[in-house]
Amino acid sequence: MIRLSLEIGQTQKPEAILFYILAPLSVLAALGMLIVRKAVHSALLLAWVMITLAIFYIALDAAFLGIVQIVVYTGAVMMLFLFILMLVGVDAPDSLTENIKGHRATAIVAALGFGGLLISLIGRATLNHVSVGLAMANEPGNVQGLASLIFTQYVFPFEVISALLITAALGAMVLAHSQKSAGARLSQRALSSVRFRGDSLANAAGLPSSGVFARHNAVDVPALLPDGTPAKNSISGVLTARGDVQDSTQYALGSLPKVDDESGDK
Amino acid sequence: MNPYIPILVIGAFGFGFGVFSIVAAALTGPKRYNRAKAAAYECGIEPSPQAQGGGRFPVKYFLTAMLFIIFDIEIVFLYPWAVSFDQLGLFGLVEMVLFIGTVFVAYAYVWRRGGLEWD
Repeated sequence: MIRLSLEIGQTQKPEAILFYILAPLSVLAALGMLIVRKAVHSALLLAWVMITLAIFYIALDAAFLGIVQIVVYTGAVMMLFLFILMLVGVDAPDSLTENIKGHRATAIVAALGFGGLLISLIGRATLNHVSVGLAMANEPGNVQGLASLIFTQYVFPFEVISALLITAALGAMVLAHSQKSAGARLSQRALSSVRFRGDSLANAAGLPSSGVFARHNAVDVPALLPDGTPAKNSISGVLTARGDVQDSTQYALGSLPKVDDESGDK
Repeated sequence: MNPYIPILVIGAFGFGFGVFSIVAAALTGPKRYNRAKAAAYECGIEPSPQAQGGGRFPVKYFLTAMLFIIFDIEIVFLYPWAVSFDQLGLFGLVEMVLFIGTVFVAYAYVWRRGGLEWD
């Protein structure tokens, strides 16, 4: 006869209250995550779902799992999602056309397969198993009980996880890293010798600093050279790319006061 | 006493602090707005309405994030290991050294391929 290990007693009242308050909020947030239009709102709702899951774990006396849920999912995985949002661009419009062939059919098959996998796993863990009860499982302490299982009975899967982490690093490198030609960066010494031992000493002195002396000294105003032209290399290239450079000639003096050459030398 | 009561109290304090700050600022703060106050905070540069490239970030950050996640997973296993270190003995030490050693292969690979260089 099939014994349901779930029939081990009534949920205690405070836990039941917590569940009835948080579970609808969690499900609503999960639905909202799929429905809302803005990706940032979706990410916020996802963070809320993850935090409520952590609270459920802790309420079920799985304290370690709850903390790991917060550290790994709310901390690291959520950060990864936000990074992806930043990479794609927060204001990027979502495309409504399906341009991958068989996209929908594959998604349905994958969802059904995943559901079947979940049902079979949960069934395997609950049906035909005599439950030892939470008190016995947590007897040496929640974390200690977990540790004694991970580091003795399941040593091999534990070590295999490190190989999985290598795969993650490899994938990230392949996806995000573009390899430059080796030795592209010059050392300080090489830079110095290019500056002083080249054909001309025109660039040997430092770059002019930004701003027009005594009139405007902001970083987005190119310096005026003695001949009256703005020095392009006195401001950051980033500002030029952003188009945030101000015209420095507007701060130039209309006429230079005449310097008396004779008076200085005597 | 339930050990989770202090956590609940901290949560209540955090929530109360947030509510108090917002309400107190709304009630007591002066409301004299001008163009400079309404502008986005920038250090001396005119804020541009649209960030370069539509607000997108370089993909290099993704590698940093993945490396952090790998460390994070490693640390998740270090918690229970540290708690039961005395019970596990030499065996536990050896398996954790193996684990960390294997994870460091990933870091050595990333380092050697120049993944830690910014440009």
